[in-house]
Amino acid sequence: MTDRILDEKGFVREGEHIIIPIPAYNAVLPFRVRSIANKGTEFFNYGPVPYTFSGYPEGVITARSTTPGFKWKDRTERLVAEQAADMFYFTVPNKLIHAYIDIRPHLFRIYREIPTGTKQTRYLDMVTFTTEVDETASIFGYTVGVVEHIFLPNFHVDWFLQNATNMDLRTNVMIKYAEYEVELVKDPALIFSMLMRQVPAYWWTLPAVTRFNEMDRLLSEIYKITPIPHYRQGEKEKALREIPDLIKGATI
Amino acid sequence: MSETVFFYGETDGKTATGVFPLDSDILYSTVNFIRPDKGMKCEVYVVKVSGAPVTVFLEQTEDVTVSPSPSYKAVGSWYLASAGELHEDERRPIVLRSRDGKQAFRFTWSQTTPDKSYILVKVEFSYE
Repeated sequence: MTDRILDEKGFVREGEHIIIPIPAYNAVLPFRVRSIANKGTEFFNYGPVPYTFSGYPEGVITARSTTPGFKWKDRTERLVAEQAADMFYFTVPNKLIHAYIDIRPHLFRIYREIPTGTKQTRYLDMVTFTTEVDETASIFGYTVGVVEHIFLPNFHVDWFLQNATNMDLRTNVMIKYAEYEVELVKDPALIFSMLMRQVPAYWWTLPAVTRFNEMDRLLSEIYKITPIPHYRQGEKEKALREIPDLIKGATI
Repeated sequence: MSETVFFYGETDGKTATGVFPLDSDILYSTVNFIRPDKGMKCEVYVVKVSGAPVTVFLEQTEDVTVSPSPSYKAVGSWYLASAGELHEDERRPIVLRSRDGKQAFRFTWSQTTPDKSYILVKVEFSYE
């Protein structure tokens, strides 16, 4: 995984760039990682999945079942307010949290709602997410194993685990994360070059195909930008002309 | 993406034939069969058979949902001829696949004289 952009743990090196396409907006967010707050201390053995089925210990995912949506509650009991129930929720504009969430055993189908309540897992326009453990209904659109997620400010993500086996499974979660301090890339030529892959950047797509209010607020009230379109080839002049206006009020 | 799970089972010591209840560190409760997720490949290794003489069968069914009892067929066997331990070569797994989510497998025993015997099984689950 090590390369110019990513370090040996899969995190973006300081000084390198991240492009986050958001399909729902046909837009991208270009960031530059200024520093990593927890550099060298990225591991967090979270413990069991923070879900308790009635009559079972925390973290047991019962046979042939799907959990309700859960968030990664704070295990330290030091975070307050919304972060106590969701440690990956934050509102600081110039932060991104890049996480690799390893839910063991690797026997689950993993779904997310981005944000809470919005099923983004689709094939074309059809929602494929289902909480039914059914061999025909819920056969695609899930993730298995380690989930990479970059958490942005201002919205919660709900997680669902589906255990299609006949075994009541105990879980353990190892999280590897980097807390980036980022700035928005403001050079239109650099942004366009990154979009054309002429300048290296780490690409991670927010799997969101429908717009949501929290993202609208993140863009307009926290970042104070208009979404930067995912420009096509040949649109360099247009990009150079438009981008300064789109980001002129940027707060980061 | 794969997961290796070790399962342990023992005979009840009272009956000449039976199904091994399987336990593991990741299981909250024992199971009498393993039904993998649809699309999973399972590489099954019987690592060790020990205790009293016993024949261990690996049995597979195409549809574990059949009521009242699914039909199993043997796809592997191991014979411990006398009291002691049988260590198996881990390089040769039996590969079982879940094609439509209804396949399952289990381990059964057969003994001339009911007694305590034990199995240790390694299963590598993977989505492929």
